[in-house]
Amino acid sequence: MTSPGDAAPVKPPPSFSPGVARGTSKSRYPDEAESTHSIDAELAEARSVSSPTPPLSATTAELPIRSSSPHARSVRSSTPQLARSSLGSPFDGRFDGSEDIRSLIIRAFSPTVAIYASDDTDELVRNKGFKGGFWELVRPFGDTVSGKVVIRDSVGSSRAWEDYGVRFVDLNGFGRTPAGRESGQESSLTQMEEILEQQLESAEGPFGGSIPPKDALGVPVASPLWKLLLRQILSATSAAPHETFGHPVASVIAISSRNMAPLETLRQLYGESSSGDKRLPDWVNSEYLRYYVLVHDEERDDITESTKLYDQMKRHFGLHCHLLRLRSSQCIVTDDDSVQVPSCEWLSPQERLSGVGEAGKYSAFIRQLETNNIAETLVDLGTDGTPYLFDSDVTAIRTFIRELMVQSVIPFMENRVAVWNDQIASRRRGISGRFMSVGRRFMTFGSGSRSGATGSSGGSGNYDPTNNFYGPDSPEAILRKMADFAFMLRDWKLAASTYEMIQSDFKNDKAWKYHAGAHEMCAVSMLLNPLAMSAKIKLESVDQMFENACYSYLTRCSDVPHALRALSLGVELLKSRGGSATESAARWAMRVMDFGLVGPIGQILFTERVSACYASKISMGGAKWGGRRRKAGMWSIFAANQWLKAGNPTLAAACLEEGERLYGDVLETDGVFPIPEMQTFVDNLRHSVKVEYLGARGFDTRDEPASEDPVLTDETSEKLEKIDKRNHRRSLIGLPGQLDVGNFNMTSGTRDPENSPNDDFERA
Amino acid sequence: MSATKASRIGEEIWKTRIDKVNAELVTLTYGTIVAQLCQDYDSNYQDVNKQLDKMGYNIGMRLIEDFLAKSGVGRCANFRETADMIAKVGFKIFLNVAPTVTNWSSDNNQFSLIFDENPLADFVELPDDGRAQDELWFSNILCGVLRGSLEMVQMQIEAHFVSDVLRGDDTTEMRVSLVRYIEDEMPPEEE
Amino acid sequence: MSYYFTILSPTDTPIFNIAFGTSKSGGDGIARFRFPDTAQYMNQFIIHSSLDIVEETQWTNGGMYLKHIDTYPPAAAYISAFLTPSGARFLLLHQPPQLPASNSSSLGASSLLGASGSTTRASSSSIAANPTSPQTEEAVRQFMNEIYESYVKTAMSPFYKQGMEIRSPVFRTKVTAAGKKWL
Repeated sequence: MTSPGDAAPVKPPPSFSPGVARGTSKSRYPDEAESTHSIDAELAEARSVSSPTPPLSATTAELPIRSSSPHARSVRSSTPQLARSSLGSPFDGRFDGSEDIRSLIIRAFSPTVAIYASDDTDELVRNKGFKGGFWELVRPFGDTVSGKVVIRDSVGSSRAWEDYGVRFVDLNGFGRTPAGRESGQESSLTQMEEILEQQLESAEGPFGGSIPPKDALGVPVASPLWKLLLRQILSATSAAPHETFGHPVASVIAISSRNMAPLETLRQLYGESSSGDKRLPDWVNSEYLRYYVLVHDEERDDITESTKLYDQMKRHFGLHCHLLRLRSSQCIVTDDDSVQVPSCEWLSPQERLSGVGEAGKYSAFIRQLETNNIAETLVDLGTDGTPYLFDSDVTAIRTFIRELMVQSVIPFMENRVAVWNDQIASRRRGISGRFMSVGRRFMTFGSGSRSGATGSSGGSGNYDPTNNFYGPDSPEAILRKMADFAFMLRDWKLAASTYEMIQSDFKNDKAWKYHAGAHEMCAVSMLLNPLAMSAKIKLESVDQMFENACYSYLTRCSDVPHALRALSLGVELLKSRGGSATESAARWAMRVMDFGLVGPIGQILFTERVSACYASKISMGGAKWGGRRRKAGMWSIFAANQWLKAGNPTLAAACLEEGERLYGDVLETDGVFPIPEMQTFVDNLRHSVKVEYLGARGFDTRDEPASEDPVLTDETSEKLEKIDKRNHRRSLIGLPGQLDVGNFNMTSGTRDPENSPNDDFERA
Repeated sequence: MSATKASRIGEEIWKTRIDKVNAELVTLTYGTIVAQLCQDYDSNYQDVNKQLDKMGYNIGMRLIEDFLAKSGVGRCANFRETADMIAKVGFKIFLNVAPTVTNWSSDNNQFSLIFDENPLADFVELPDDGRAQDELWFSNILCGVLRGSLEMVQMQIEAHFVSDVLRGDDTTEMRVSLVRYIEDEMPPEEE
Repeated sequence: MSYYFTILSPTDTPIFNIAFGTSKSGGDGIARFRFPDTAQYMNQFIIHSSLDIVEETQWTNGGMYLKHIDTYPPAAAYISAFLTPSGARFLLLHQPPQLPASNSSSLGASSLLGASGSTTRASSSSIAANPTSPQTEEAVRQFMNEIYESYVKTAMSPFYKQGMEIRSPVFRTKVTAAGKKWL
């Protein structure tokens, strides 16, 4: 078989109108005529050896499983695709990757730590091959803090998390990004689309086609492409005034042992970060944790000197200090203890497009961002440009991050939440819990001395309508920050109640982005809280919150990336709730498409997601009803159609197969639809996908005897058998106790594959 | 006996001396029989018509006794009176319809029964195979019934449908012709 | 408003299909669906997919008329259902007319949705405009009941076999008339 890498460019798909005349397929690709001779020859050769052009089912089965996107670390995606026939109990496999997605979502809201390193530190790190300096070196390791992270919630119970992460940002770039972002909002969507396109192209190449991996039940887990899109959506929004997720919780100030005047430099860096030109924007609360790091050069400097300096730092700056011991020389792949640097999981669409993700190409991006950066040519870091680090360096960095988080950042956040909860939130709760916003107004006036209080009617006066933000010290901003902290500490109960508490404040102040954000995160934290939401009423209120968030983001603020994020979160979290929530999830996914929040490929991925949402609603207790198999199947078929139109028959084939599997449970006979128009459509689609798929792989499908022609050569009849098996395979997981409706004379109940009128198309 | 008097008798008997049975049951039973015949004769509708007529004949030969017993009417003076008796008493008491007697031939030996309603054909729609509309007389059993019963009272007649609303015609019309009076003959063997 | 009415046998086989448009408020009774003519299979897909809901609702709703049970938002298609005791399903897909000025841009799409939402609210008194209003529910109920009567008669025909396609022109005429009368 031709290797997928040699695949001919995909032709535009044929029309899908059911009434395609016979014989059109013969002339469908007239331009292909000359170029196919060699392929024909090749084919003929192949035929003489073994059965040629295996039917689609066989071909797709042979395809390499779609390797996970280059950045995913998911082990699951490399799980071999198990045959459906090998499954055990059909009921222990409810797991459909939703935990995976859930973790992805939770990790998307990790605390942010800004990095501000001295020039000598950056210089040292640059010599190791990291053009972006210290920030670039530590950033990939922040995706997961090694070991368990124990967090105490507001009521004092602790929980350990395996997947805690931290987001490192460059303090230098911080002020700049949001400013440039306003104009780049729309473009982040086009960038997302571009990334998906790139991914698809590369998938056509080295990955040779991408079939979504499946778990033991044969239920596909979220496709890597979808995860890629989701990750893009979650990282497309950077720091903004109305939420504090991107705001630094702490700032790491780093110097190296090469520094001649270390303490002065540290002070200077601190000064610059709190008042100088590196100061954060006005809407960021400047009270964040400072953490001081001394990077020790193991190769050039004396550790005793550094230890001495480190002790001195601790005396001056307290306990939030760390001594990071790194080797200063560059590690190359051939070194004994070289370790490949992991790639960053959370790259904004812009970064990903400029190739930051493929580590080692940072310079291109950095040059864009920082014009003052040296235009050094890329040092050859290895065959594929991937940077390597010494094992000892990796261990040191991991230890540093763990210590930073576990001993400083998380306790700091826990503390802030406790203090704010005590000082601001509980007072609000005490009064306004009963009197709602009336109580709130008393309360604001009572403590109103804090602000200039120009007191617009109904508003608290803390909101600055010209610049659209609350001062970081206003109770509204602090409550939002507290809720965000609680959220990042995974105390969703506290987060949800706090978000809920401040919603009306934002509404009164007409602070619409805040309003949207509070609704969004309130709904998200309610959905993330595993204990909440037993009643159905809650689901309705969650829906209402997403509705509000979506309306405020989109209609009032035209903030597409945030709206998209809110709705995508809604889709995924509602889906993972199961039951009737999955229908809400599907509806929100449709809304995303309807609003046109994503590009063409994104639309297809959302179509697939609608199918997945419906598929995850399963019937209860062996009853035949309650599932949404027909809906899931329909959306999958539509997705297949769209993939085909987008010129990707491989993914179309995967969706088609998935659609037929989903329909399998509800159709009397597998692959046979009771409704003729549907049958025609699916048959045509099946055929076109096959033609395109094989065509894309260099097979000439036109001269091949039609696979379902009654007059068959031996080898095609063999093939026909295979196709039939596929078309008519009975679902192995058919539910017991199906209603017996066999007494009804079904006119189209059985379809003879050899002379069904529906096959006219195929015979053409 | 005049037609109005016949009508009165018919009404009277229908009200007082007839056991009623659910109309749908009759309709469905008859419809099923016809449908089954169509199937058995492989949609040869001429054969189906013939078979229905034969079944009707056998019914008629028995039904006449019941008719005479229930109605208590005597011998009819002429064929016109017979026609009224059939339409206003016979159809009335057995099917609760009273077809119109019309289109007499000049020799008073032929007339038509026009059925405004036909309980046998309620709900019926003929198969749309392109032939039934032209060939099948759905209610042909009625012709046989008339033939059979009148034969028992010494009248040899011939009856056939000439139009049927089921076929898309405006009316349902049966043509009845007197062939001859049978004088003192033994009734023939059952067919 | 455009309508697509289907009767499905208990085995989901369609035994009767008809597409028609509203005759109310000056409608000419011709269906104008949002899909191109080549994509009429969409109606079938949507109706077929709503069986998921029908199967669920029929256990919770004792009546034969299940009202509006399902929506296919991308095409603003609404499905009402009626169950006969023998298991045939009457499904009516109704679709409000496509509003003009739908451009292909993404913002156009969003404004389209907003607009269709507000229009339905604005003219909720008219049957044609709002597929979920009580008036519409009532009109559809009358329509369904009338068809049910005709359906029973058709099903009683000795030449009709259960589950077979209904080819009776009489029935089709009656459905058309009912559509004209109620919808």
